[in-house]
Amino acid sequence: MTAARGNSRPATGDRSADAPGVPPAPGPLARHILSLADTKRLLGIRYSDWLLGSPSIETGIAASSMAQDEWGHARLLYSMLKRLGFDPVAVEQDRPAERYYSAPALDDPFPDWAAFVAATVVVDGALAVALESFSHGNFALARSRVPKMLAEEEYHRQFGAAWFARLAGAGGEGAAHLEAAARAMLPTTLAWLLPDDPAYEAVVAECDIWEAGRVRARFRERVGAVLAGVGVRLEEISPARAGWDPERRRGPGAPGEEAVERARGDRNRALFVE
Amino acid sequence: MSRGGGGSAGGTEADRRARTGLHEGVYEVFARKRRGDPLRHIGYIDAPGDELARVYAWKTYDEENWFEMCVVPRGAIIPVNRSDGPWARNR
Repeated sequence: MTAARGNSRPATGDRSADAPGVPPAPGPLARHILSLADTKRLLGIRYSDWLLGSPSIETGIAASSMAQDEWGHARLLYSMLKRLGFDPVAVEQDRPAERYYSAPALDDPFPDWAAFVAATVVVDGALAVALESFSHGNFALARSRVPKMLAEEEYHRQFGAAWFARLAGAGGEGAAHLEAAARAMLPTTLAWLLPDDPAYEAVVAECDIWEAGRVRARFRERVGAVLAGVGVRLEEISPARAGWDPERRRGPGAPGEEAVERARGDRNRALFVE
Repeated sequence: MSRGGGGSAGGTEADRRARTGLHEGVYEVFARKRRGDPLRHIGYIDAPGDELARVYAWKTYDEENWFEMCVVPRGAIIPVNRSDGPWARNR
């Protein structure tokens, strides 16, 4: 198990060269971890946007708790990169937006509550399935750390499923927004969850995570019935692979700079204590 | 990030619920820290159903590492000796 791990590939392109502290292009396993960690960090940012604007006090508290869950999980995932020769602090604090590996559905803030709910099912659900797969592989840090994340994620699943069913059941404008948000997020999120490239195949082969067919089946099992509440049939949605960036394991684009500034903690940098 | 028992949401929250059609019920929250401890009333939450009541309770009263937590719809509690307080209407 060597090819999938560490900085096995040389730095490529201009992004690495002009970004101080950014690690060179990662190997397949490091890419896998960065993709999970960055998606969790951005999802935490997007959840945190709704601490005060959600439909009830309790919902805002739950959004706050879920945001903190995501950030805690991200921190644990970033720390795994140390085993692969990266400096996790540099990875967390020194990358520009275009060096983020996060799922494209999180590039922009959620425009409304329906989009928040759709993300708890689509994006959080995809993350949970990817983590479940990772925890069943042979990378020891994932086997030891991910199960607790998945236990906390169970409350995210319940939250998403209950809210999705509620908005879908109410019909009208809310259900229409929910369906539109889910349909907008699914193609890029499926591409993120099911990378059709050699780097993902290397992680499957060498770290014994689930192959794409099993991941897709598990995702369908987790969210298929929920999405059907607004008429979305998962088997009819194709991954959006146009413009695929194999280095960042995602399609084109990048998270908004403002979100990345928050993710890096730029404004609190002078207060950091390590 | 917990909130204590008693009281109700303020006007702004009620206005928002009226606007969004989100009508919620009250659930009392009980928990114990260790297996042998008595179940203790720790507060309440508003939720639109049992599933979200579970999530809201766990996420709202997360300052302790609870061994066990459960929620009970306020309307299901039958007062025994009091005719006042939050559960009196169930008599």
